[in-house]
Amino acid sequence: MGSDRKSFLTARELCIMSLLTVILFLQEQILNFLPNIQLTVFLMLLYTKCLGLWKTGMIVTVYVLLDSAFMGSLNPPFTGGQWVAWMAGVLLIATVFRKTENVPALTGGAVLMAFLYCWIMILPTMWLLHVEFLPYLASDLLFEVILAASSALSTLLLYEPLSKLLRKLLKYTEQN
Amino acid sequence: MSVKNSTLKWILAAAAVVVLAVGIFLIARNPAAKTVGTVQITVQDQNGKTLADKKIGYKEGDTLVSLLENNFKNVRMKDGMLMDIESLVTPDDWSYYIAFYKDGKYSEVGVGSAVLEPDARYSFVFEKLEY
Repeated sequence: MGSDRKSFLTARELCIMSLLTVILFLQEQILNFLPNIQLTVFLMLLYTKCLGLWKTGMIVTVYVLLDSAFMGSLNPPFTGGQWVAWMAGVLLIATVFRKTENVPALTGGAVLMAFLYCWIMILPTMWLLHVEFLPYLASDLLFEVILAASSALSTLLLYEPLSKLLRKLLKYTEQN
Repeated sequence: MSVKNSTLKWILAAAAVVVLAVGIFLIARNPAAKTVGTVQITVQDQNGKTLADKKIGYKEGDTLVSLLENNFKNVRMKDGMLMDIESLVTPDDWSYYIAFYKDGKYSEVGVGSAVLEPDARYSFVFEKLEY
């Protein structure tokens, strides 16, 4: 019967997802003064591992719209590019790294995710700012390495404790 | 987590810290001039009208930002980007922005990272963000 079927999204899950979206958005604003040092990649990796592809996709969609509106970059090529770039990383984690809980392996996933985001974002940036590919890549490379290193460090140090905590929280909402 | 995995985790964390430290050092490096010389700095509005055009001498230790701040009105920088100069003001929605050219070509580095070079021509042009 319909009432026995487990719904895709419960009200409690929706509340948790809203909270996770706020955390994703706020950490970026708080760490904004540091050059590309942020927890965005790590949090998206954590959410994908704990919530799965579709729910993380919903979080990413809201986050990208919120972030673009707040930063004044809400336009189809940039916002669309950002969504595709983040979702490519989420898709990578949800497929290639779906079965692993090995932290060093997931760290490799975080590094790939960081570079994937930066490289996909070169396309809308080239289009919007009329910059050439190689000069842009050359000037961006150092920032890409910093994003990859900060994503790796946060995954190495935070994945185990926070994935346990989030899974516990999600299990608790399922049981109650 | 196995001992081997745990050791690998800490080695990788240490490597990430080193990469971060080197990266931040390189970004924060002072882009000060290493020579003396003269540069030309031009500011143009969205219609190509020249608002300011100055030949400015610089000495060792000067930066492009310091030359802008000392020779132009209403200079405002944010995150290494030039937001305002003379009568040009970057709007909140970024529908226009101040594009940075060196010797007629889009600069490969940001304003805050550019190292002054003798006889270089720096142009700041107010451009519409088109898509």
